[in-house]
Amino acid sequence: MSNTFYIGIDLGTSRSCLATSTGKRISTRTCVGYPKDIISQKRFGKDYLLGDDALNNRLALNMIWPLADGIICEDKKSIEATGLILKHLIAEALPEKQADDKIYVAIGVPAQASINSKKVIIDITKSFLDKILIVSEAFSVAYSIDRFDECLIVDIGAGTTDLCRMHGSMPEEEDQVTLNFAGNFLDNVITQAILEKFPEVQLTPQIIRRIKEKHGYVYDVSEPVQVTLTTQGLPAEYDITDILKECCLKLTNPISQAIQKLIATFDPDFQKKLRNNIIIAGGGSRLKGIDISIEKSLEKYGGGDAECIQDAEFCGSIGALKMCIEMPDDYWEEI
Amino acid sequence: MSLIGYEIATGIGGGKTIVAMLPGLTILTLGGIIVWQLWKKKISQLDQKNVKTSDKLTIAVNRLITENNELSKKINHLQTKISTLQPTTISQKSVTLDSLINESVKVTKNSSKLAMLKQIVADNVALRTT
Repeated sequence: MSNTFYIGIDLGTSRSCLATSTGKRISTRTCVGYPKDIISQKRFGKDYLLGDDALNNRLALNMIWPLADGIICEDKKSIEATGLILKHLIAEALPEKQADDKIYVAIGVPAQASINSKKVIIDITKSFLDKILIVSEAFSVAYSIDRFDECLIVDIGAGTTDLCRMHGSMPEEEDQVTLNFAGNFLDNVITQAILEKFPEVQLTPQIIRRIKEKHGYVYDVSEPVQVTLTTQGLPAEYDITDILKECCLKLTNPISQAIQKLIATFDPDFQKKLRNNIIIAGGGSRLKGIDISIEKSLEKYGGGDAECIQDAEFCGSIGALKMCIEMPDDYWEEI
Repeated sequence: MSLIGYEIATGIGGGKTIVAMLPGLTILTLGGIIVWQLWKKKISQLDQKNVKTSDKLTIAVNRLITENNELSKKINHLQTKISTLQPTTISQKSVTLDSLINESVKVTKNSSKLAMLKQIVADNVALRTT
């Protein structure tokens, strides 16, 4: 007898997360590394490396980040890389899948991803998936926590920040906003700011990411942030407390403005309820004090209440999986 | 001293005493013989009863031995049958761990959720036809 497995996927710019109906949770970097030359190909014995494996061997690889801007880059290599990532993630999640078993998947994409980029995902996955559902990432987050009443989902990813206004029914286009102010933007801003103050220091995207994830904050006050960086190979301690705060505010300010705009254009009778139900998800929700910062930005509107979601990494994929499991069979048949 | 005691003691009435006790002794002996005969009869009856029971048990044991032999024959026959059938008609389908722990579908009964899911499906159908 064949089985039908259900999978929810959050295809992210930096990380892709997957949750299956068999209880698996897998997360990997959304990148593929191709050997630079014949020597590296011989060393790895493979045509490509994926995720963290690729990142750890990046010096010998040509790295492809297929979702660098939040959506699939439409060049051939990026499309191929996205297919490889999804195929391997699914194979890893369902190692015992039999030939006659079926896989039904819901994939979360940015709220305002183009029709073309959604079609690309369908095209590259139809050879190894039986049913594919494309859903909004922010809506997946709302679905995972069963919040369909008046609330505002703010999903801060690496490539995009998705905002989705929920009001008890399917969100319309005007209820959703996608911003390009997200994790990658913050990385660039931090890099520039550090190099401006300490032009000699050696930085890589991985160093910046580590600094951001460990020390990123938007409080008014903070413990001094001292990091060890190298200048021409010599390690030294650098104080980046002020730099980091200024940079993080450059990310949270446009997000706060987008929140204010979505609230201001909502039914006035429900604006207060919306202000008091702001849910922050995604990797960006780990910035220390981001909930307080958003609440402060709403003070002139009468205040608000923001909270960061607990399972920031998997909430999108779990929401997508929940949709799959709760979907009636005849609905699937329509796809 | 009483008269009898006197006679015994003096040996004068010894014969008289034995004669006087003779009928009692006779009755006692006859009674003993009768009791012995009755006892012997009863033992013989019990023996016969035991023999009958023993015969019945022997028959029952023999019956069970026969039945056991028949069942052993049947088991051997069926085992042979399975070993001949297994490679041809019984396919050994492996049951995967994934299929055992796979969460079953829990279709929502919430009407607003169903409406939203319907809308998502409609959007996806439109996406494929655009």
